[in-house]
Amino acid sequence: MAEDTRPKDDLERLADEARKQLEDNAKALRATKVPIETEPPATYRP
Amino acid sequence: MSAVELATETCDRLERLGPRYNAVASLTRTRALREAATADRALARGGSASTLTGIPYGAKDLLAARGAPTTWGAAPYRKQVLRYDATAVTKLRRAGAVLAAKLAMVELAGGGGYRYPSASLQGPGRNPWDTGRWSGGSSSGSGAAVGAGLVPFALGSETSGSIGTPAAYCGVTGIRPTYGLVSRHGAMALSWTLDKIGPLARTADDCATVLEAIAGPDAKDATVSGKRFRRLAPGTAREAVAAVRVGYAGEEIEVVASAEARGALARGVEELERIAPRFVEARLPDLPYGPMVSTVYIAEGATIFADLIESDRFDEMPDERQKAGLRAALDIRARDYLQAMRLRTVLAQRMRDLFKECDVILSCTRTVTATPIDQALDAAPAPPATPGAPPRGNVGLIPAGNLAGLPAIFFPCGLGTDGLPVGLQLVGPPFSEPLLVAIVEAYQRETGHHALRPSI
Repeated sequence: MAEDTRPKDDLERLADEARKQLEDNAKALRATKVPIETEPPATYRP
Repeated sequence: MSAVELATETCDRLERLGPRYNAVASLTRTRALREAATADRALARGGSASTLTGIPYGAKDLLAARGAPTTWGAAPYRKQVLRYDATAVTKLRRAGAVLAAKLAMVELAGGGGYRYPSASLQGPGRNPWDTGRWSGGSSSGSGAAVGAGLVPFALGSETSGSIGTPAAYCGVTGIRPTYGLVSRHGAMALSWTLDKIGPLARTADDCATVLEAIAGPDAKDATVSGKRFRRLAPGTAREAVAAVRVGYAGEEIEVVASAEARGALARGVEELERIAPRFVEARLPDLPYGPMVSTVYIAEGATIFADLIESDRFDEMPDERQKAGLRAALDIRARDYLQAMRLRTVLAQRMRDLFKECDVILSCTRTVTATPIDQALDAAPAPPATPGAPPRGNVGLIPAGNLAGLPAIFFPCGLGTDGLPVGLQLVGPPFSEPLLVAIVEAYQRETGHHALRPSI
């Protein structure tokens, strides 16, 4: 991938980097398989 | 010295020296003098005054204090004044403690991923050991004020590292309680499922005194467990420390730690091993801790602050990287947030399995000493774990411990070659704070690192 030549604090660059970070996180999370019966920790209390 | 005299001296000191460290968000002098007078009357009556009666402290500006500004470290909230006390503040008042100041913090506790220590309404938190270095975040003022001796203790909060980092950088002791041990009523929420309130002080003993006061039931916070914190009796503590199995990997110090920090961290581990000699090899489960913790807190934080993020007031915050992170997080998919949460269930089970092999896990708190005040916090990101790369030990203990809701104690273990503090952390199973305190009390009886003071 080509190096980003925009200034480090360029607003569009920061926005692009933030979106990419979320996508990278999502890829890492989805790559970690869990048993189908796994539920998130319960926080809802009726 | 009376409590009023002590409160006056503390407020004077905070007023005079606090700006040197950008540590103070606001002084609460009138309240402090009122609470101190009440403490003096209680002491004059004698009887069962608590250990905290008349003792001044500071609270991270994320905690509500009736009538005082509560800015959450963020310019859009600079004029916010709340009409109630956070439960932790109320409990300390009932124990006789005296609120002397609200202490500075990173704006909105840094949930968006800030780039610079200057991401705070009070400016960058300056370290009492070297004002050209950062005091850590997001409880920046709490770490600096205790480290500089401006207050004997402070309240901080941790979502993932915000008590541990200032404790390590400023050379003080801190406790991150088990999720649900301390009420969060009146605390700014960054992450409903991760936030914890805890003390920073010189010693484990002092932290335990504060934790005894602030832990326990609170009808105003549905996530509170109702459990209390009580120290182990001295004989029980001695036996527990002698028998405790300390899980340790070591590569985080031998491979990952900076050249400045490594020697002091390694000596700290050796000192601890003399006090608690049953070391066993233990490694965290292999899970994507960084993506898990940041997905959870940034998704929850962006939801909490969605109205701000979508308003013009958001532009008042200075750190553009933090703002970009929060804006982007508004679009996190439910699928990814829930996957991160499901992985927390997996982590909790694997940590239960790990705690069959050891009773506590030891690691360094941070692998580096305090960073320069103007250095971007993402200047040298940790390399990702890749096949064939050197093992990184338990370097992920801060996010892992926070994701699993586990308690930690952070304690200083000496100075790096650059003269700046470094510290270790111990993490145990849920509600194991009495054991963690007992171990570090024993460590601090045998070592003097917690008594080191910067030149003020």
